Amino acid sequence: MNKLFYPTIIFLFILADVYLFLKSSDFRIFGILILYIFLLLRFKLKSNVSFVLSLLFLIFAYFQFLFTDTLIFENPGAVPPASERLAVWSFILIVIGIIQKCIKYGEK
Amino acid sequence: MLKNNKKLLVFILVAVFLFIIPFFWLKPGEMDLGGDSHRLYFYNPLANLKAQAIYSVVPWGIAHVSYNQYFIPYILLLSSIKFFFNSPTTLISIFNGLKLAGSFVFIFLIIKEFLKNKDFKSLTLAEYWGAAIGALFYTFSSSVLDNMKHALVTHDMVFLNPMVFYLILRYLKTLSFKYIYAALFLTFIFSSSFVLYNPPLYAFYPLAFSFIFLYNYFILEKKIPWKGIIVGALFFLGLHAFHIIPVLINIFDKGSEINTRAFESLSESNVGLEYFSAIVPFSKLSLNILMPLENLRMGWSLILIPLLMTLGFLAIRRKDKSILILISIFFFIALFLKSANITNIGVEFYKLLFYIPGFGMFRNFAGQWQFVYTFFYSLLAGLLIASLFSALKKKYIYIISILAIGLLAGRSTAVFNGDLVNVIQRGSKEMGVVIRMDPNYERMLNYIKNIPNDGRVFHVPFTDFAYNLVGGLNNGVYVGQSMVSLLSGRNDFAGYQHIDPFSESFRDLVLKKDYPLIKKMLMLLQVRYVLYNSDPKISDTYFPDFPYKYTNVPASPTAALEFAENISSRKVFQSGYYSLFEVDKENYLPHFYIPSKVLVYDVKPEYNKQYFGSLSFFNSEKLDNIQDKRIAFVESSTCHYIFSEESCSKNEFGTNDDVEITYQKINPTKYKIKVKNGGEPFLLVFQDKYSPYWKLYSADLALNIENVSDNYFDDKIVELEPYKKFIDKKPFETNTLKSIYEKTHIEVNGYANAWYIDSQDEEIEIIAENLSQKIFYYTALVSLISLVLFILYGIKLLKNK
Repeated sequence: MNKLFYPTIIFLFILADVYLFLKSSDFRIFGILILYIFLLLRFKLKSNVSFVLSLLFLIFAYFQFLFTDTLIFENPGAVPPASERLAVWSFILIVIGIIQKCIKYGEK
Repeated sequence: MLKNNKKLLVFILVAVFLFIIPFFWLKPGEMDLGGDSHRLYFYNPLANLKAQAIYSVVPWGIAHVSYNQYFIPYILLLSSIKFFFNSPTTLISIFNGLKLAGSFVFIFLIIKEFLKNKDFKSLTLAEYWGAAIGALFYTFSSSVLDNMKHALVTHDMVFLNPMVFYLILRYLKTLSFKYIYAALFLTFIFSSSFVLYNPPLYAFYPLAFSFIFLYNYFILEKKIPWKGIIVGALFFLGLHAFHIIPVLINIFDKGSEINTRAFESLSESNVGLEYFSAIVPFSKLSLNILMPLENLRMGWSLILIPLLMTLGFLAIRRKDKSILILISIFFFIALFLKSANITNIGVEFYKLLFYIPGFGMFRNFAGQWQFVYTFFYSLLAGLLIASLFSALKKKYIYIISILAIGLLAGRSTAVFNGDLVNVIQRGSKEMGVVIRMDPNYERMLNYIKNIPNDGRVFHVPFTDFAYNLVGGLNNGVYVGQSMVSLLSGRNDFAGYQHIDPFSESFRDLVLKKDYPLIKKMLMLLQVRYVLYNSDPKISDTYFPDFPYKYTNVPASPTAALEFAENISSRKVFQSGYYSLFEVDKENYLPHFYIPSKVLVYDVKPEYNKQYFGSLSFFNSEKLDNIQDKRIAFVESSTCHYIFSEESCSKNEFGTNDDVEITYQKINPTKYKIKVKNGGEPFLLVFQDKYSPYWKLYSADLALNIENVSDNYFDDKIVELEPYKKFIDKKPFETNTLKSIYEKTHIEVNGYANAWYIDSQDEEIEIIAENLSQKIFYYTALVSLISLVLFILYGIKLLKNK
């Protein structure tokens, strides 16, 4: 139960970070990240959790990308498009997943 | 299920298909040659070799020193192929085909190696389709396709990088030196893609080699075969000595442009960091993950490969785990380096990298890291999809594979219909990039090539950059570096960037229509001919926004003709749209001259930057009262270097006006000069870009003064016909001679060389030679010896086999 609950919380935190705040903030990103790493260690979550979360944000980023005016990529403003922020989260989570795999591989 | 032998057959058929596709892009006689660089080596390899690749002085503009010899093996390869096909169109198609087929083949083979399968038969269906999708993902990526138009010579690395990587991988697995041998041979004939000036080289190979060593250590669990590596490295250095050593010398030569760039991180203004900071907001991680092509066609299909990959992470097979983790690490490093814009901390960290000497070359990070990123992306995609497929039923593998390949091919329709190269010139109204050469222009090039003096050519219309525009017989226009310089070897001025340091002065004079002063300026640039192009296709009617806006030289046929006539005196040749005008001999300063007046000036701080330099000295105030056109401008601090402070403070004085000189061009890096009526000090001006590599040697010359090409200023300057043989018979004749007047070698006119010659002798015989060319001769000798040893080693390998 816990193993599904906490990733959901992280998932919602990330969605809140992307959709409730206009600008990206390293404090929020790394805050959520530290919390996530703590949960991974505390509840021994597998790398697949990170990969699934990454996959979800990749899909979100993709749909945002489809509905984003491409002009924003040519003339970026101060506010990054949601697709970009979701892609960053997807990237971070997949990197964490790989690190988890590495650690597990090392242990073996 | 595919039968085992069919797997190889399908693989070969796809590769052949990809190789053949580019042959349908261009009709016979059509070529895409322009861009920031050029591809005139496809059109006429030997002419381009002679003009650009042999000598260490560029054939355009004010002739600065640059090592372009890395082109030699590549252009010789092109010449050999052209000898059989005799068609530049076929030549272009062959190399485009190599890029597509080579990319597919070698990415596939690398993935196959990582799947630990010895041959095609042992590949499972999942592995086979995974490798095929990974390879096609690379082949249809923006790194390969979007860079096809206006392709730089280094774009060959899209297939060379995987090829070299694969061969080294095979060597590590088999320890058979034939793989290293093949890789060395390829790097030699494609040395143009392995030149040290090429930043993507530094992006790819350090990461690729690090990966290979880790792979060897952790996955193959083998010792590093140092012996083979050292032998290979020595052969590489020997074979490439002819371009690596000169460029290395150039990099560590303080004052050279490349040295300034390489070590800008140590200077006060970190230009690389400034440039990076300006463009980093444009970088988008989402675009790098989804990898759309430039035209964003079928954007909805972009998710499939990343989606399959992420699913693949969930289905990693035990046997693939180690290699996937290793590739993932390199993929994410490459993704970070290519994207840069990942969190503020990430950007700040990236900025710190620009304090490492040399890292400034990655200022255009998205372009420089794209090849290594796409490479690791495709390998990871292939392996992860193979992992995913191994957990699926056969029918799903077929469905997903067909869908993935269909979508990849669907969004890359430009590959199949030729739109990849058949594009519209930017800034133009419907003018294509692809041209069919106009025979009239070929006649003009031939005429220019055979002119017996070495006067320079000024192009009208004149562009804002360094581009030259030439219309084709079709609805296409060549926009690229000048064909006059790159095919005939004659220095010319095609645009604003070529006439540095006079660029801004020229623009100002054009606005004022001050033709007398423009003529004086052109004298100081050694302009003797004006090439007027009346082709409406290159006019501002078809190019309203680019490339004519800034400099203001007229670009409509009538106004451009008026401009050309105002700065020249008579027409000497016409062929179709192209007319060559000549300036009066009175308004021409030859390559070497003795100034009758030296004008001293102070650099104004506001003009102390590129393109503005001449605003400090070139103005009507200084020039109006001077009748004799043999003048030289010397900067005051330089003046103090050779003259007394008292003389310099007078601001105006003459040099020995009675001196007569006779000179002959041996090649662009070597001239022979005979001075008569010396005895008193004089300044000898040489109108090539100042470089400390230009040296004077005292020598006994055997100049044949019967072959006079022209004479100027009442026979005080005599120009002999240039030495006509392709190769200098005495390339090392100055070896035993000591260079003279080094301490009085100065810069005049804001760019040119001059020597203050203080000799008692009435007659002096001198050779002016650029040291960089001799450096090339020596290093070429090393490469030649290495090549012989390399061939002998190859024979030995064959015998052993």
